Amino acid sequence: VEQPALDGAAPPTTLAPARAEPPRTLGFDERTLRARVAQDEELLSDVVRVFIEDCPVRLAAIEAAVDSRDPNAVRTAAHALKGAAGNLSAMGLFEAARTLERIGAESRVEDIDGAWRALAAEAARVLDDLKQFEASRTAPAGEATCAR
Amino acid sequence: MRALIADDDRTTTTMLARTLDRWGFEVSVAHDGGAAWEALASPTPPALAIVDWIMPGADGPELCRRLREDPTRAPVYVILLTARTSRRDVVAGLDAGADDYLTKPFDHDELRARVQVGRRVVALQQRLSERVAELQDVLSNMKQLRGLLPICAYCKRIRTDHDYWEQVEHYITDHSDAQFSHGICPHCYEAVKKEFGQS
Repeated sequence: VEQPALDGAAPPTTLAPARAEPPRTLGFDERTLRARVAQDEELLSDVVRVFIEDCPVRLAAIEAAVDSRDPNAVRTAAHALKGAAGNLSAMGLFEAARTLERIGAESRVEDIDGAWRALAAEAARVLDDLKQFEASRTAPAGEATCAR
Repeated sequence: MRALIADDDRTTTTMLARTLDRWGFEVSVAHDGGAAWEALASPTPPALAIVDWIMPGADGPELCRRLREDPTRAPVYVILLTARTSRRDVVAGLDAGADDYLTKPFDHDELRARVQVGRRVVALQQRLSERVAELQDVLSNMKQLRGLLPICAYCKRIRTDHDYWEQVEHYITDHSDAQFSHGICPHCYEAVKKEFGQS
């Protein structure tokens, strides 16, 4: 049974909609990311912004490599995204990139498409979460924040 | 102290550059192997470099090998950044000439500790090379005794480079830091006594 949305009473505590759906985990781990930037809020913003800019470029490179069916190009392009995802504590994306990198390294051409689809979906999720996270951090005080 | 961050991933370079900047380094960034080599091979290279294993242009181990090929090159402390964690990969990286390695995603405290080790090693190397330069300076100014001295078999004077026969103690004083105190040995004492007419 769908419950009515909370009528702006309290700020949401997760990025999940304010309905009775189970809160999903974020595409990145905010706690380890904050630790990696030593709680530097400005650096956190910079890193998130750079990733949001850079990730689509990396994804386009991976897609081009996937289309070319060149396992070595797939391996290289996937590797480039893996490092960024890892340092952003987006471990789901890190694993997806690692899987695709390994498939490229092992020249398992038949597995490329499936792994690419999984990676693209995970990347879209991470990017959505990061954009929402960044918007909530830059929002004026009193508005909803992205607490975990 | 100057540091180079070399990685084709902008998220990583942003993170590392700002972190090292906060620790007091003067940071430069390269996004491919070619630009990294340009910085590393310059006459005034950075003292410390964090270099990604896989980069377009030249990879991290290749840059390490090139750096170590020429022993006269100014030393750079290289930390290899890698997602590879197998023992074989670590050994290969160190064999190529890396001083240390750091795995991606990196841990902030581990980065600080490893950079601190690098800073200490660089400071030690600098002190050592300063000391060597001082010693070379001292050596070049030091008075030296020549290996083969032409000496008169009778009066024991030594012939100088300018064909001048010099008392042995003058020669040694001029060519070393040795100094003489003058006395009379028992053998000469009797002769001296006679010379001065004493009994």
